[in-house]
Amino acid sequence: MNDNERQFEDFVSNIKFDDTPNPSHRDRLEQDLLDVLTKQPRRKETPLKIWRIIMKSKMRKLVAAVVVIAALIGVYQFGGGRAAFAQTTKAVRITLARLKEFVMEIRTHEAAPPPPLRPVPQIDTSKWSDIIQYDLFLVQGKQANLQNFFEKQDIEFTPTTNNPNVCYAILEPDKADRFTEFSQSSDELKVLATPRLILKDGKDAILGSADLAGSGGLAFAVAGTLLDDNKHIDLSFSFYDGETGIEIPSIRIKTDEAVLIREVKTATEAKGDGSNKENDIFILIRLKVLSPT
Amino acid sequence: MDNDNKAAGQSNLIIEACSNPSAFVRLYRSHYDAVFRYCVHRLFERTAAEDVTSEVFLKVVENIHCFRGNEHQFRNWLYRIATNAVNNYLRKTARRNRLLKVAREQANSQVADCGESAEKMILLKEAVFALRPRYQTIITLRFFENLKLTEIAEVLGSSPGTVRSQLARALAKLRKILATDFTDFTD
Repeated sequence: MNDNERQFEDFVSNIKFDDTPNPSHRDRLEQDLLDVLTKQPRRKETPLKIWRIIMKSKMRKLVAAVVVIAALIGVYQFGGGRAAFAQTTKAVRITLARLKEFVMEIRTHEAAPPPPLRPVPQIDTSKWSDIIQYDLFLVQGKQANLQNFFEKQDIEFTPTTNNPNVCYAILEPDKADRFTEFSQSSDELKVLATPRLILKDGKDAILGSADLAGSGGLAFAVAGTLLDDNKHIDLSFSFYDGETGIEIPSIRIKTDEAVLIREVKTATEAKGDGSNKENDIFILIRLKVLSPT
Repeated sequence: MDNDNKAAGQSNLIIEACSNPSAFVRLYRSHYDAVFRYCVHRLFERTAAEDVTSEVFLKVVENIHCFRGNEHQFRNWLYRIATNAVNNYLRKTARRNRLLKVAREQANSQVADCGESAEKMILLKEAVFALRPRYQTIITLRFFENLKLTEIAEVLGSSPGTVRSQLARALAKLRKILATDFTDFTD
């Protein structure tokens, strides 16, 4: 014990706190607690376990916080409002067990008829130095239906290091256009959503959701940084669909190029009835650097 | 050996308390006083301390089935819940400012009547509330609950080294605040 501690201990030693417990409060509380104890049903432990896993590590807490913020930003950016938020639940359930309670609360307010979509908020971008516009194009369908197209267009995918089922390709603008045209005209492919996002350079990540035709939601985040030459963008992308989580850090592309990400669903994810109803997911991200307005 | 048996008995008591009301009552009674005192030492007010103590044990009832650990860990768990509850209480009710104001008023009106102990109490209250919540917790656990640095570290989920340096910073700040009002703290 050093001098400071000793001095403080001396200081507090003759302070008399009125800290004698009150037996009547103790007995009253005891009765209340017994009432609660006997009435409460046994709770499931899983959500708390997940919460503990998150809260035990600073890094996990940080990641969880980022996901929450990103999810909220994503919901507003997409203009999907409460409906979009509800669909996000599956995608973020591992990281955000407690978000479920929040979503359930929202659902209770969502009696039919469904609420109108929330208008996209107007953002004053005049003070931003550089603005990146992201046009996302989400498609669901079988990889087999696109195989010919990819071969014809000479599109080659690069596998990601941490998940063999996820790969990406960098597309020139005309190929990106052809991909969207092909997807829209094909009966085998389903275009899920085509949101547009406008974000400040390098600063913001977004996370959105889409209805994956009965298989839940998809949470994804994207962040782009305009490099000093003003001709290239460093793009980071991550997503989670309730089963697969993937991060693609630092893809360097030209400002007019697009990135196509493909997640192939494996046979192990087939449904119980033997049919593989899980379709593959394709996400096209087209970027555009805008001058400040 | 006796200590080992006692510890094992307490661990069994914690497990039993999940489903057996009388075991829960025994567990509650053996920890009520410590939790209440900790709350009084953090809040400097009996009524608020009783409210927060109630909140702490309600949390215990709700979550005891998730707790895995021995008696020693259970005590640390209680302190952790109590610390969070006290901090929430202070934050939610903006009590810190009000208490400071009340303390100042009391200092002006009561010091002459109440003697040195009361004067010190008021000054201590002002000084401690001027600290960050984490520093308040460390000061209370160290000097009022007499926990060792390693035990405080367990309660706060930090390393003893971090707690030691935070304690030193908290004391330096307290010393600075108290020195302006109290001659014991001048060099």
